[in-house]
Amino acid sequence: MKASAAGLPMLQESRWRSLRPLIAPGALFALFVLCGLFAPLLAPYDPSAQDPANRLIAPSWAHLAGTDDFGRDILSRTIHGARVSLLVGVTSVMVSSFVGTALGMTMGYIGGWTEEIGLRLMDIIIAFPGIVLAIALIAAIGSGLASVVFVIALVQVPVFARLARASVLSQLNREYVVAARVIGASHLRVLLGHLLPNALAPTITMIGLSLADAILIEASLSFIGLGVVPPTPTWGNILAAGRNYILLGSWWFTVVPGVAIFLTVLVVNVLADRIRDLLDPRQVLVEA
Amino acid sequence: MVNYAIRRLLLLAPVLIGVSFTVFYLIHLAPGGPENAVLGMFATPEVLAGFRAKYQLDQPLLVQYVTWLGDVLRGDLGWSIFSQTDVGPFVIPKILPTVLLTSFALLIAAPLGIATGAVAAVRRGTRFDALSRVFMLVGLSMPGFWLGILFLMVFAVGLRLVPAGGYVPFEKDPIASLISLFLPALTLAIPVAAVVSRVVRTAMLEALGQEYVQTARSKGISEQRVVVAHVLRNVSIPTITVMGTMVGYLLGGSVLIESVFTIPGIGRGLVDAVTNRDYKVIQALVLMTSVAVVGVSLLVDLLYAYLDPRVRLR
Repeated sequence: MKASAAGLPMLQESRWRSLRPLIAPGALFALFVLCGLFAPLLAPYDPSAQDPANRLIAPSWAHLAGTDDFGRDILSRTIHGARVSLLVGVTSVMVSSFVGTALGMTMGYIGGWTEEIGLRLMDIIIAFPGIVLAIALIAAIGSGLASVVFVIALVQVPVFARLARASVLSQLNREYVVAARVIGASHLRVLLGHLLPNALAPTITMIGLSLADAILIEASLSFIGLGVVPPTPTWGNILAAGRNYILLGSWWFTVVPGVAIFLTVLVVNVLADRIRDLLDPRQVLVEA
Repeated sequence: MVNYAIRRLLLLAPVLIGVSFTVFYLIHLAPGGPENAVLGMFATPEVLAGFRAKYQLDQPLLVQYVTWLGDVLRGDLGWSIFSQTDVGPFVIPKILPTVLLTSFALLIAAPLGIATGAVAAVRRGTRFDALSRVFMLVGLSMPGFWLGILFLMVFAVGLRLVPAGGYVPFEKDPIASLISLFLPALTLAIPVAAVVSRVVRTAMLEALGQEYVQTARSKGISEQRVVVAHVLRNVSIPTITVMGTMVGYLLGGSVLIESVFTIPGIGRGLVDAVTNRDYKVIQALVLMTSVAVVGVSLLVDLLYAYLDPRVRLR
């Protein structure tokens, strides 16, 4: 955390330099995304090709991460698993950040009963532990890619809504907003042109943190059998299958997909952390 | 303070109504509607008709909700078709293991998080600070269920220090019960400790920079006393707030941890109920969890107002 680099991101000369802390985690994240996108090209084997003669083989040159209980190559399954994790993570956070920000800004801008009702609705969602609400909803509406994206997005909407509302409230009576209203700018123009840019910094940081969270929730749901259904490989369902074989010593079966989840979430968290430092120099000054 | 408590309680009512309505409505979302969700897909038309009449399924949704809520408040959580038993007596024994697990985890997480966060702040920029930051990031990024499996592999399968899962009932042997809960509680505690540590570190750094701290120092008070008497007290408020929010996290996390370590608590019960499509049990467990979260957040808010008089005046 270098205050000198991130402290004054507005200065032209230091603008590019201030982005430097993002390069390493950004590149790693891009690498994971590429892995997911080009999984069929990168994976050494077909992720669903069974080979009964080679069940639960320890890592070797032929199978770098070993094989599972059906003789499927775990490295290939893990590479393909990146697709579901990242697809679900990115899509659900796109939905929740968009819906949440729109809701929160509207609530803060209109105020009164609209705001009150909106806030109580958010309180209701927050009253459930995220994973519990997600499990209960999936039990009702059924599992599958769309359900998983929907429940994760729903669980995350309140965070974005509260953040956007707080940001709107803090700016609503500022002179520039009042001036915009006075010269006849439409509500939409005030919201999008003046209030939104101020809500962006905390929202972008939150997008990073929520992405990490979304990937963890997806993995958890898959792990307990409520995510994307097998045979499509996901990190969570590979782990769930591998869990039955830890007593037999087949450690690779659970370690490899676990490492994939852990590294992805770690990289996203580091990225979110550095973005926060960049966008909120005050935080850095407090910490430095 | 009393005024604040009353206001806070009034705000709670709409949330509790919303939460219970959501739980009630879950069963209406199920495939085949509530009658098939509760009676299964193979119920005879007569049985279905009887069920519809009993639960007034032809009535408006609101009437059904009020009937259901009345039953719940009288302690009647319904009948579990899967387990062939009343839901109440079926779910109540699941409370204790979860309460033990989450409290044990909080007892590990709080001192660990506060200590690492406080020391990291006081020794800012040292190797310990850097290490504590790594701990925070790793703790936050580690999927709990995977950490649990790793612990099992190392401590149960590898070193054979603890049994691989299995819960000893507390009423049978309290000591053995706590021993059986140690590994799961530790698993659950690590991400919580990471969050607490981070909050404490930031709050400490902020407090250390305040004028009253400089005044205390310039009076010649020892650094230790400055930290204990002036800084820690002001750090207690954000710490309590974050611990309050962590209770929801602990209850959520226990769903997976209980499944990994086969602890017969609410979380594992929920996963089993979902697998068995036992909707009445799902409803009961989700309702219990969310009411617990709402209750704890009320307690935290009241404690917060008690510690910080400014909150009451807002």
